Amino acid sequence: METKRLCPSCQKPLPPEVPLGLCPACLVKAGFPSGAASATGSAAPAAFVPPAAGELAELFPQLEILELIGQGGMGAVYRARQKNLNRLVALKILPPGIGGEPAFAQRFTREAQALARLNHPGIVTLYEFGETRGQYYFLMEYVDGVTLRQLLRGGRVSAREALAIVPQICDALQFAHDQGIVHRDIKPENILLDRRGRVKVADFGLAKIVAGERPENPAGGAATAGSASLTEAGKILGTPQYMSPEQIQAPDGVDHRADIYALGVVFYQMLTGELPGKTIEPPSRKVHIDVRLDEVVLRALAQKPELRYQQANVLKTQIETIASTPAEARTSASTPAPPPAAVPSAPAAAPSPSRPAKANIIGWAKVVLVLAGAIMLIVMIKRQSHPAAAVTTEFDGQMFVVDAAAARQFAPILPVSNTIVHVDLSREVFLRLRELAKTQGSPVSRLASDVNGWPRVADSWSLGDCRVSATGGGFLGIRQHDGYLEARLEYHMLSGFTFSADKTFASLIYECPAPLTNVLVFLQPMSSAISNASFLVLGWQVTRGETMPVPAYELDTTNNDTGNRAVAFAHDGTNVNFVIFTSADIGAPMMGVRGKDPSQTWEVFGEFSFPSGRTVPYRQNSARASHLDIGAQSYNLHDGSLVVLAEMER
Amino acid sequence: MTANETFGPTPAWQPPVFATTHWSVVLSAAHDSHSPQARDALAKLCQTYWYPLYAYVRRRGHGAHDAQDLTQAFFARLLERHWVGDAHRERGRFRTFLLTAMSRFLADEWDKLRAQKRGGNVIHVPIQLDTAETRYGCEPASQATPEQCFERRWALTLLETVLQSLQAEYENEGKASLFAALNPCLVGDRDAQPYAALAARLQLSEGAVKVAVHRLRKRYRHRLRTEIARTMAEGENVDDELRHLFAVLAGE
Repeated sequence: METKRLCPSCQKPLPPEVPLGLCPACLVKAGFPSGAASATGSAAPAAFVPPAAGELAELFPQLEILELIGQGGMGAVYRARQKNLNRLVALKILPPGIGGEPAFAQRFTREAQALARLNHPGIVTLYEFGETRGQYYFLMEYVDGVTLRQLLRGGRVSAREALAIVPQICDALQFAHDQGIVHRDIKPENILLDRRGRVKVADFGLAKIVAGERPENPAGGAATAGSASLTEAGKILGTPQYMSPEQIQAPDGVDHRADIYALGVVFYQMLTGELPGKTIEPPSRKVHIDVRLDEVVLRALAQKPELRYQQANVLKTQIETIASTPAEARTSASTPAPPPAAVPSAPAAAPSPSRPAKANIIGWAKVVLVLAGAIMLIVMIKRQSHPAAAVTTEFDGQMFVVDAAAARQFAPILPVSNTIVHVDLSREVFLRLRELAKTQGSPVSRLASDVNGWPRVADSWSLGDCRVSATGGGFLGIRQHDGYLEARLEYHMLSGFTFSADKTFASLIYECPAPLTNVLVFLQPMSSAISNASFLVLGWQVTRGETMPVPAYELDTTNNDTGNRAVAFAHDGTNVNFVIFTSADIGAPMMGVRGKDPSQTWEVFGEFSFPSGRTVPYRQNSARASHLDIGAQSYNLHDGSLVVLAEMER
Repeated sequence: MTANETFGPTPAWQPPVFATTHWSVVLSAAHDSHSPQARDALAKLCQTYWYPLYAYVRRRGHGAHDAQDLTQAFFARLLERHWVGDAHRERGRFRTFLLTAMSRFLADEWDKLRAQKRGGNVIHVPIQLDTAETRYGCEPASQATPEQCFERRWALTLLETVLQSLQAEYENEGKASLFAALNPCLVGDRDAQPYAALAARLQLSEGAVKVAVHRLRKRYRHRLRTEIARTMAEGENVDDELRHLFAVLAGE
């Protein structure tokens, strides 16, 4: 099984087919005039190989080194148990040989002592630091959770989540600033969220002693990021995208307002999913959020420090004021703000008051819309009894609201009657069962205590019998809840997997070259298909082992169809639904549903139409649908309903 | 490292002005359809950068066969200088010119091309279209627009071109293994490369490795900037283009 490689320098996943296996973005950076590459702060040598946990045991007899949980080019973080206190800790080691420069030890000690005084619930506590046989290390609080970077991988977070997270960062910053400590490298990698949604800021001030910061905990573990090469005063420390102008110009002279700028960048990125450009476009022009947030973000991002918020707690107060006095822009669909729910274990949710009895009505389908403003709508659509019949489905406008972050985390839905089962894709995989009507679910079955066997679970699909499949880097696994690996298949560009209810068909989503962005592959029968099969691809026919698929089904390119996704078998196992994508360049990606009896020809059997103002039926162009991102997944419930996950901006 | 060497929005460093670039040669001869230099320069650019355009056409929804025909025909027209003379607005950069010209071509010329095909009247340009589909098959699936696909592939093609030429340069000097060992040092902080480990591996002194890495990075930077300059008109800022490429590649 191959895991996705990360650039040792900037820690982003390396795309396939990169020249010489080097990170293309970092290669471009290296084209800047001498020294510029290193000024990015995310540059690093490619060759630091962190020691295996066992190798460190000798150096740290007081610790039981459990596992490597993160690494960068110039540092590594391990989860460890402190034997005498029997507590989990994060051990960060710097690369061997880093202390070669004489002034280093002194600086290291001085800074670390200052950091050790930062006792705040919102700051990762430094327990211990030192050097043992030339190996510099930090022993820190272990945080079981995710980094904001990981949370942002899916794009932006909802405004509501951002409003829950940012004030906590402000608290931590204010506390440190009051003690005269500037973080200098606030960025999503350094903001950890534990399982209860609490923020912990990591690596306070480390940028001052340690340059070349980079994210370090790719696998969802905790810990603190950063590490690296030592630097002299005057060198630029930090990560350029988050650095204030004065930090770039005169790194020596920065004060706490550099942190406020960096927080502004983080805030902007949370709201819009993008970094602010040269000319900063107000976030509300990019996404539908409370326009009052523009002012807050833009002020934090002021070029001149004196024009910014002068204290983090002023920024916090502003945000809290906005959060507590909803503006009209905050949409009619919104519900009372749930508690901060940024992490998997706290799926805040609230049902729409007008939601009727639903799932027991056979012949209805639901469309789940994940709205950017933090709510997911499950909208009922009516569908005629036989899914293969050419019918038009339409909304009846019923909505069901859950939290968007939770929806992303718990994407898979198990097609069992009217029940949604979520699978937590974070570090621990477990099943979460919830009736559609209920707002809170309770875990029902733990699938695997860890996902070490599947490091980088890219996606996960639930099977009708509580098994779960997941893929990572072209690898497909099917696991039962005890973690037993039932089958595995390695296939080029594999990304998805579903089963028909009777298990006679399986579908794979094969990431086929365009014009289809995602296409469906059938295996039949499932048992033998895993090893050798001819893949009938939706749109393409591919024989296992062959590189190129042969067209078998024409997408309607005259209507700008670009691909299909969100594949699901109908509950009777005879039909399959999927969402059709159309090219964005005609103004709107659109969706439709097509079905096929596997033995018959393909045909469009239905269309979704959405409530006025939301989106449009398949093949009707509309600018209003331009922000729609449909079809993360779709599921057929046993009652014949179809659930499609979609995401759209409000 | 100092502040004015920062990779940031306001670099103090100014790039050298390149006296002539391939693209500026092409532009200067835009109305002289017989200039062999211009034709050569354009042909070289096309041979290097045809693939991003092919990927763009494919992403626009054209099948492999059509895409090959279209790309072929597009470059044939380009070499006949049917459009370069009109490239007023996009003169600055070959990259933006290509994309604009191709999208115009797809809009206007597609039908004509089909008619022409029936007549069998297609000029062939020496580009390796037979490898196109194999390469395209390796493109990661994504929701990228055709334009994003083009931009990304352009950036990668440029890097590949530069690295290949750099590698060839080392190979010609009998230093292939040195290049193989040191090329990871092209990325990352100059001060933080694993010099000691490399020295042990290459059986050189650490100082010698540092010098070798420094030279490699310098040569690479020069080649990269030169290659970028080739695709730009005179007076255009290489750093701006670098920033653009970085944004394209770093944006996920």
